[in-house]
Amino acid sequence: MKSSAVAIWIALVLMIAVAGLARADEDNPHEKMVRSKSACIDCHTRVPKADEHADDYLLVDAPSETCLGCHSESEHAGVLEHVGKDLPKGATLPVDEHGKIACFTCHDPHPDGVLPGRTVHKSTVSAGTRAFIDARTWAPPLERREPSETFGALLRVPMGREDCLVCHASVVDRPWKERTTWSDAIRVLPR
Amino acid sequence: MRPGRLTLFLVVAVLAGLAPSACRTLNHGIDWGWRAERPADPVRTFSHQDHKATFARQEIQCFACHTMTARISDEFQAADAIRASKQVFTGGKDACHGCHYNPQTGNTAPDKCGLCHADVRDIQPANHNFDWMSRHLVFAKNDPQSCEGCHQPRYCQDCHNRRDETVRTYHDRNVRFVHGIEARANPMKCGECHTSGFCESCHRQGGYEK
Repeated sequence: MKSSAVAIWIALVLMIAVAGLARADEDNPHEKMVRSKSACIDCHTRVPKADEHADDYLLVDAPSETCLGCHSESEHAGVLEHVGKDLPKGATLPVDEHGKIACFTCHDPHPDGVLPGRTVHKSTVSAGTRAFIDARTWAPPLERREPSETFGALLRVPMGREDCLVCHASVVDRPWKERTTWSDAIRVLPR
Repeated sequence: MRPGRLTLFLVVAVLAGLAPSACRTLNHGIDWGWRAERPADPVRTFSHQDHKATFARQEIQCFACHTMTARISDEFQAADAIRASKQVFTGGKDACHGCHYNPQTGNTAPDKCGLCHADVRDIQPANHNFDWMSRHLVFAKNDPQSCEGCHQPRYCQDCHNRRDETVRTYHDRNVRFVHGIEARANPMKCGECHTSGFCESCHRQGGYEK
């Protein structure tokens, strides 16, 4: 009698946990839009037509605010160093309503296959890079974060060296002797 | 020509004369002019260009150093979040030491501290101060790992196990003749290894007794 009651309790707890996980998946708009077009109106004012373009991307909120409905402003390291900054000239990536870098400049909210003709990339980490990251030591407030296995990091540009170089290709730093400023220089008197 | 105008003319002439040498500055080959001074901060001497071929060969991606796979907890103040993001995103010590100084996996890049640290005294531990030479034994026996944090084992062996006297360890071989000059120039330097009693054992009452 006692063991059957314990079994019933365990079954109940498992059912609640599974139901909770299923609910979390259903609430994730990135997951939903793979299955149904109705998910579009979670973020857009209406279902955009193919090749339709608008400055506000037909979003319910301001483009710079849309992602923050679910994600943190400091979702990962490096966000604070990019978001809100100017996109370098020549880079053809989407910007927010102020012409500044936003989450969706690097990330495409639509998983691969949702929008015809658009490829969205997962994160690919080389063994050398993985060893580097594993060796890093992070203290609070930093926490280890892995991208979703289902969609990866939802990147517009394939990860590697190319992703950063879309904007940073022109930033080629020369040896320090050549980029030393006047304030770093010292006077050498005639002999 | 009035005196005011003459002064102005002379100033302009002198500046014009100096300008060509100033433009040639940053070139270490010139006899005189301006010369680039190496910044003390290793981050400022780092060059992506110098590392480009190595990174490509070892498949090191940008975010190996500019790590983006760290989340910043919401529970902390904005100032902490900004500091933490900058710290992990700009790479810094951890990223450089991954190749240049890695006691766990071994170094895959040149390991001379002076390669990046223009003045190694900047990274000298605080306890390496007065009379350190006689005190280091206690620290080394208590925590040998802490020595190996910076020094290769051969650094210890150079003093403790060498039998050939021709190799210089700390002083030049003519130390007895020149130490007076060095001591007057920088008395603190003697104190890094010796107590005052060490000096007084020879120099008593203002005289030399040996």
